[in-house]
Amino acid sequence: MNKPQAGFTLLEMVVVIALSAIIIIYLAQLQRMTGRTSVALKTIDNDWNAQQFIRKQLWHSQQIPLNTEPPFIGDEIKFEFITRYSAKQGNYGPYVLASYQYDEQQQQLKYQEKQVANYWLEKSITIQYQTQELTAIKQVDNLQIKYQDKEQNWTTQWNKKEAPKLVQITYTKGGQNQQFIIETQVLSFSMHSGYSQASPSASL
Amino acid sequence: MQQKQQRGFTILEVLITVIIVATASATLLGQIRGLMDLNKRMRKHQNIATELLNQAAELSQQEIEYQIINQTAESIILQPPQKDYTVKLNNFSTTAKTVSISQAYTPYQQYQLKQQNYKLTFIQPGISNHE
Repeated sequence: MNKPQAGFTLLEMVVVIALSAIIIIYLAQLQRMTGRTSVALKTIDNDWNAQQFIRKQLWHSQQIPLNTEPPFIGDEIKFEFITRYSAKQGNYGPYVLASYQYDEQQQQLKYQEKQVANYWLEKSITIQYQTQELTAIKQVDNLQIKYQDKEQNWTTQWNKKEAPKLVQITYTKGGQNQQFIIETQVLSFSMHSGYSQASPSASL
Repeated sequence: MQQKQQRGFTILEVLITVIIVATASATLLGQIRGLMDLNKRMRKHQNIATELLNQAAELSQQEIEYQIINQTAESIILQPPQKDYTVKLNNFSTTAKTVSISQAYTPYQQYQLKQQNYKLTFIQPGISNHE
């Protein structure tokens, strides 16, 4: 004789379904928050380091004593300049031509540097090596670059013999507006070791 | 032939499992919330630091005409034109003893920017002798 099989009661089913629903909602929230937190924590340090790197490079941007080529060229979405602060060689390395360009499609600020020959101070720029294109800042919207001249006027184009006084980089990231104002040539007074210039005392 | 009797979970077993899973996920959620708060605090810190660095960059332009807001024997509070922040100016000395700004003028002076609990101090050429 078959024994009748006992199923769950309605109350048991309701309790289990209700608890399961709560757990599923919890887990979904957990997954969303984990994703957001990991992205935020990953990018926050990268962005900060990239910003400070750009600051340092511009502080070390170099004025050209003899060369007739402009040391700083820029427009709304890109700028390039000669600096002694290199991503590959660090500070006090050889001069490099640093290039920043905003890629609208990939929403990234890209960076590339090219080492210039030691004699660029007097002759035209000759490239010794160039690095791969690196991503400085990711997930960037509406990036715009401006330059301030001696008369404190802001402009979106720069192609002069001297570097701008200030460079302003504005962009939106994660709905937040970010703005950086950076002075140039603050630390550009010293010569790197590869450049030998006879001092007055040496010539006596 | 005797059929083997099938036995399901009791409601107590199911409840215990559900409670364990819920407790574990709640703990994790709390920790993730903590990380998000940390992220928010770091962002706030970085935003203020960036703002102070921006202000310092603007102040590096020596042509700025400042407006004197307050002057004491020790220091001067200045406001750059069309800006809503102020800068505190002290005389700078390489010696341990600092001369107050009303008594002497040093070619390099100490600029101090302040925002909430954050302070940025830097040294630049003095802007005037404030006679």
